[in-house]
Amino acid sequence: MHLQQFLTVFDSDLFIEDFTSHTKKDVFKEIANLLEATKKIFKAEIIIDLLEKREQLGTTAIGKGIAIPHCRSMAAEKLTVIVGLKQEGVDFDAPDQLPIKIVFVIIAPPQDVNYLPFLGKLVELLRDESARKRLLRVKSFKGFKKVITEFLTNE
Amino acid sequence: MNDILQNLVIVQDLDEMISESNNAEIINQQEEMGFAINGLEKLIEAREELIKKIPPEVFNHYNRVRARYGRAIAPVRENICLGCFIKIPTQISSREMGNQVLRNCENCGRYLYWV
Repeated sequence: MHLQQFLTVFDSDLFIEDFTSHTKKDVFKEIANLLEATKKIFKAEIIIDLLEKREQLGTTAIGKGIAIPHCRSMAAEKLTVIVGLKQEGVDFDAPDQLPIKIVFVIIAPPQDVNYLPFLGKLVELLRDESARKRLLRVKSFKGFKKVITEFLTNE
Repeated sequence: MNDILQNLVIVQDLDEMISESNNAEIINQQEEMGFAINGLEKLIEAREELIKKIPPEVFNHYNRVRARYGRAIAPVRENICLGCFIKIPTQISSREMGNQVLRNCENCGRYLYWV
């Protein structure tokens, strides 16, 4: 997946600088409500239900303060990513038990071919200790995009 | 939104999730990325619970169309069924109106979901 293609998936309208939720369930609600409010999806409940059911398959928290809930849904018109920050963290049943400070929610239409390549690239980015530490400190969409751009152009 | 349509959309998305969770290549990819896929039975149970909320005749139609086309619900954009690319004859002016009632495409029989 090319740098530009990867970057264009992120949308400032879908960046939550400090989400208000304190539980995993409420994080899903907040994110789905944002998707509905920005008209990216028609009905928030569909996404809430799917994200909750996806967690039954196995936790999407990958540890070190990061979770990547992801699923395919016909509710999404295109590959859609919501980024949410929470400085004090949220319990997400992470394998290392650490609270989650960044959530990347990825929703892709059933036929989207960029879904898994995007997910793979994101995980690669988050495995880089320096990039991850910088991302855990960002406070704005601008800062967030800068970290990603620098990582991808230097790799 | 029509409750039955909402549940059908979730069932179709779950069917996709279950199908991917049975695909060895996708499971390997997900596990390499650090996602454990170990709750397939729970997901299947959740799907069964959801199906109870759908009238049997609707679910039977869903299964017949799915067996034929792979997916039984088609997204609609600009009043075009994106399953068979036929214009929906009924005048629907908004997503709200389209999704208020459970409708089939008169051409392919898929259930319709205005996205």
